Amino acid sequence: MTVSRPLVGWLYISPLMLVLIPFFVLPILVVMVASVFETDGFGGLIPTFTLANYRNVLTSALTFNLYYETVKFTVLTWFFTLVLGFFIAYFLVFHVRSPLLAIGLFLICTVPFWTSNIIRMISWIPLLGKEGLINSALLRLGLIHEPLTFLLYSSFAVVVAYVHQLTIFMIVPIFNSMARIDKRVVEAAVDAGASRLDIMRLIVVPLSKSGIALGSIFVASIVMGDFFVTKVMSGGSSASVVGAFYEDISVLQYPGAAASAIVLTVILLAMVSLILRTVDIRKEITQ
Amino acid sequence: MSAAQETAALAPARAKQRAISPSRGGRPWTFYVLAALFTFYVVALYGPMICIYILSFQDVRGGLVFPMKGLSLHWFIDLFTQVRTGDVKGAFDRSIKLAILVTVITVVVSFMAAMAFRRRFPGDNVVFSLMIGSLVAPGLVLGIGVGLLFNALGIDTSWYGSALGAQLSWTLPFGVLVMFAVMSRFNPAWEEAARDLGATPWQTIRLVIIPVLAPGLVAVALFRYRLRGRKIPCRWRSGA
Repeated sequence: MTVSRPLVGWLYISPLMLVLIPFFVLPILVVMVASVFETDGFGGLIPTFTLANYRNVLTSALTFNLYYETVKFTVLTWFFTLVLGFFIAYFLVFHVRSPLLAIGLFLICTVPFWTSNIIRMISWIPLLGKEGLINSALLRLGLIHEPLTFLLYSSFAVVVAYVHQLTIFMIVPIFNSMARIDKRVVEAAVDAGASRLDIMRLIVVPLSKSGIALGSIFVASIVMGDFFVTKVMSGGSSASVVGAFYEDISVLQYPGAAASAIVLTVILLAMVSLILRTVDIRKEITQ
Repeated sequence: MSAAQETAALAPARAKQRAISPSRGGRPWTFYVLAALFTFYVVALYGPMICIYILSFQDVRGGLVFPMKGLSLHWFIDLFTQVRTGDVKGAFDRSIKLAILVTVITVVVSFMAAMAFRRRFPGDNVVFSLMIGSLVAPGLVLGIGVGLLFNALGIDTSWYGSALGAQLSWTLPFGVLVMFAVMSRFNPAWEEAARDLGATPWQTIRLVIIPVLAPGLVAVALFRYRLRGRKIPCRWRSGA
């Protein structure tokens, strides 16, 4: 066997490229091309170069509002999933003493994610609704006199649904990187007189940075690219970037939708490369 | 948490082997706080779903709120007799086939890709960036692109073509990243040892790498299956 090293690398990678080229590279190029075309208003594209679509997207106040809403949900969801995910992973790795029990508890966290996202989202409605379980329980206890209306069809409901769906994307990578922390390092720190806060700040957080980065990428890109949860759980009162170009498509405004799709993708990529700049994920494997 | 008490009972016997400092000796206060947080999370995770399952046994008048109106299997019968909901059995069939295909392809391809990324090769950074791009690009953006592309080429969108590809464009990068984590536990010395003992590259993969990584590969397969949720409306064009 005298196959050169680069060739072996490319042989291994070629199936991946066979999927990425037709289903990522080409579609993105098509969207880019469509974003500088004119539309005839009936779904047809006229191949004349124009930047009007971008001008429309970048100058409208609507775009700004959409991004504000979407970024708000992204940041809130990211914060809550990070806090929950980090401490749950920490609990499983450092506090549960039997490895078998830790794996069992870990599986308990993951099993619900075998079901559909939509079911998991819809299932909040009977709880949060005006006549839902939470409201009727609070009414019966006499804590409130009229049903709380902010629970459902509000920003609160959107964040609840996102956190419910996405915490697992934080737990798994953070659990993974925490499980690799050598317990002897923690031992040594204790022997050297480190407090619990010091251990957390100087050992656990830095060593689980790659997990945190991966989880953040997953959560941020899913929330930014989603419109369904925002639409359903806010009852139509909050819009999202993707939701807006979904509307554009349904009225056959492809170039406008394509332009805003490109803007969103650029913003997402910038965000992710910022995250990747702080952590070298590839170092995990190449060493 | 009775399970925690059980481990607490077992703990003294094994305390010697397992010297995890934050939980050595008695439980620190953080244990109870985090155990409460964990319990809260699990309740919040399962509670709403259990509610929905209970509500599904209502009769015709039922809605999405408690209290339950009647008790019947009405909605289940409705679901499988295709009066209002359409071809549930066919959809179920297609989903299962798609899920199995996606799982198998993802495990094999992401294993190969992760093998490639263990060493540097020309263009590896480009491939890596493309992969990350594919992971973060919103499903709907790619959906528009795939729709326009297939339309321009005159290919019909179908569940085994464009839908499969659209799923893979997300599950593969995800699978490769999980594979990175799995492979980082693999000691390259084992591979060198196999080579020193005269194993061919294929034998090394088959007899050393795959058996050692088997649990991780299963994990990737399971993870894939539940991530089939990238909803790309691939059919919006043919339906329009």
